[in-house]
Amino acid sequence: MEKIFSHSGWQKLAFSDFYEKYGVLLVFILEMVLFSFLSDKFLSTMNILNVLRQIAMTGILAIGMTFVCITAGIDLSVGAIIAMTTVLTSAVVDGTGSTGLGILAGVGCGLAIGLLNGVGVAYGKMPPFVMTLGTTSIASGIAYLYSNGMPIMLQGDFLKLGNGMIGKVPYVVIYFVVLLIFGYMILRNTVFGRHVYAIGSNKEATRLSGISVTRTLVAVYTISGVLAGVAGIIYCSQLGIGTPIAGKGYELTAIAAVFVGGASVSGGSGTMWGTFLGAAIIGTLNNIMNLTGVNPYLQTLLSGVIIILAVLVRKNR
Amino acid sequence: MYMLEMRNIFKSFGGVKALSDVSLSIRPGEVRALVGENGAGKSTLMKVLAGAVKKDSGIIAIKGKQVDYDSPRQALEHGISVIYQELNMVPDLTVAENIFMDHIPTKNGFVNWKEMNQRSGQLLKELGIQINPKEKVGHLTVARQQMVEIAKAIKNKSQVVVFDEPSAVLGAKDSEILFQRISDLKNQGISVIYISHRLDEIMQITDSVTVLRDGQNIITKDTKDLTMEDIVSYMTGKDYRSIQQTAGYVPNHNEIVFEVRNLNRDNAIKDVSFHIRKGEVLGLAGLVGSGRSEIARAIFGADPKTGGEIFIKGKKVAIRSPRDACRLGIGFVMEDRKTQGLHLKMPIFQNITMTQMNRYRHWGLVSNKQEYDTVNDFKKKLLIKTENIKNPVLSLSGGNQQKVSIAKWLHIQPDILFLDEPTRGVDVGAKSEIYKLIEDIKAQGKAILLISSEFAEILSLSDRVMVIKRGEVAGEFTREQMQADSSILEAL
Repeated sequence: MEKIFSHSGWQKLAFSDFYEKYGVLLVFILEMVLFSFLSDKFLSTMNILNVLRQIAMTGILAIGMTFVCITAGIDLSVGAIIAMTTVLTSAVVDGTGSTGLGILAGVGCGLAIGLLNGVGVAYGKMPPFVMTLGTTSIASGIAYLYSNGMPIMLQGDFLKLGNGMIGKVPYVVIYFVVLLIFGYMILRNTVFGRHVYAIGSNKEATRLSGISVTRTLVAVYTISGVLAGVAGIIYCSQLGIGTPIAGKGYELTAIAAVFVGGASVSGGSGTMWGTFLGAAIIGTLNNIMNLTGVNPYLQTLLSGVIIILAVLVRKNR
Repeated sequence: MYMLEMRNIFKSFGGVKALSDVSLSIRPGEVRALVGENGAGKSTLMKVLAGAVKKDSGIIAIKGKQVDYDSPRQALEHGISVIYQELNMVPDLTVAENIFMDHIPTKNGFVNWKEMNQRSGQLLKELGIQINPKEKVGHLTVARQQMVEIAKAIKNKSQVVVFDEPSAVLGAKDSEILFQRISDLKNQGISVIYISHRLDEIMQITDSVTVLRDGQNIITKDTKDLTMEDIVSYMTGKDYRSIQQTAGYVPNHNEIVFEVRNLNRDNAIKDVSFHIRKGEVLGLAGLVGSGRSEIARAIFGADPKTGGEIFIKGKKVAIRSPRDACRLGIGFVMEDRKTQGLHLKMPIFQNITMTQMNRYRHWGLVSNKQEYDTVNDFKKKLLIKTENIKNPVLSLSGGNQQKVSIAKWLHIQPDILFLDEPTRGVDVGAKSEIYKLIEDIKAQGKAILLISSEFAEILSLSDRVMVIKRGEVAGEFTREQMQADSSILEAL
């Protein structure tokens, strides 16, 4: 049954469109106001930087996830990529003593898995859910195999990457913000970004318009993989450890940030700014629950409820 | 007494009047053809009858008694069955399960497979249909699936059965079997409404014809009092014999800019060859399902082909994907703009520039201002009515959406343009604007391949017409030949 897009239908859409555009921002502002009453420490510079530092890693994952979700796909493997990256990066740094080679190894891990995902989805026509589910186990398996289940400890210069600061601002926050800006510009202002939206909006029409859907999809999953590699480098640098249990469950937080931020499961919508707000909403929620001493187990439950509510009030899910 | 009466039916969608005071009455055992061009209102009328769409006003009566229903289930209970072109079967379930889908026989709360299979088997036997009720419907040919649909209608004790373009998916032999079935229904006193574009079939099997145009009744007449040309004239509103050829230079001496030789795709396209000259419009005429769109798609690289060569300006080219075609200067306005041509939720300007965004790229970033300028140019030239080119395409009316899908291909400045049903779902005003646009494109020296199921359209716009039947070329006509006689209709 075809849907009739009539003129009066378009008027109604325009109204809820306002909420779609600014809804997330409104929720965020409301949150900030509410939380500032719940704890006087909430709005302090110290705390805000703290929140940013905490959401940085999953935030970086969410940047890549945004690209993927706009194409109506999903990348479940980013958490496992972190694990694989921490193990292999730590091994390289420990073995060669070179930070540079370590970074190369980390990015390489992300690149490899991301490329694999991209080729599977684009050329193998695999459903993203299934493909990335498979590579999750592959990446995780590699991490366990190499490390034999034992953590690899690090010290030295490499640890500065994840722990250093400029004044009061941690390096990781800078990485996050810079990557966010890059992501924003690519998505909004490049031909590639336009193609990403087009694929999510109507994959077949995009192909028929002479655009290479396969190339774009490979690129999208590679971006997600590489960013997961970067997150992995930050992880093992921050904690000084490479372990196969690193990043477990991080993909869920990243995915939540993207959808709370306005993306739709059917693709075609979502913005970098929205993803940031989504990550911030989830992050500040966890933060205020810590500050006010809410039972940590209750925190998990409440996070889930809030995420569902945040998406429920929208029409464009 | 009438089996079915539909009186003074009105239905609008938003501002569009799909049905305006339409009436249709049929006697028991009568086979009525319902004809009209795309957008005439046939589907809407049948959806109202089937309970899929709620009428704004009007009366429906069965056997003289007025009925009111607003769901397909209720329509079914009143004895109305519709057999859709796409068929409503669930491929993974068996024949018996499909026949009894809306009323599964149970025993103590569990499905009574034995009864279901037994009753289906009996029903099929009575109808002379040799199908195993335990067979999965998906394994049956389309023709046999149609038989199952008919069996389902009988089981539901339907008194009115609507066939929506049933022969579009059937070969000659299966069509004959279908006609036999319809004859059987007729003998049982069941009324049949037969929607089709195939005039020869209509002449063969129907008792009477109702013609709709622009949502209104035009005429209802006994088939024996009509000729095929009469029906076409009623459908188009123009005297078939005097359909005006549009003025335009006759490009008989121009160079051949596009040529296709021996195009083949399994059984769908058989050895198709043609050429188009500069400034020429080649029309591909044929019935729905004859393979014209498939031919264009195979050339364009949208579907794979198993054989054939393509030449642009005399040089052989390889086209393996729409990307290749696009780069070679071929544009393709496809028949279903909503799924194949447009990104409904994306802004108008993005839809238009999508086919060639490199133009706007500076230092890696896209210049929106340049985009807006180019699109505003198109807006002016094509008379696209919108307050803001940043609005999503779905905010536009059908005619304007179609203009956007044409603009998007004009954007690449193509040398060759394929148009598949360019005025489908387009109102009268926008339609003539699009015709003028086609004239302009032609005058600029582009080669145009025009696919259309509307007789008047293809006859008036084309310099030459090629008739396609079941994937092969069935005839070729020049302008003069087209005007002379109705041989085109026969070729169809």
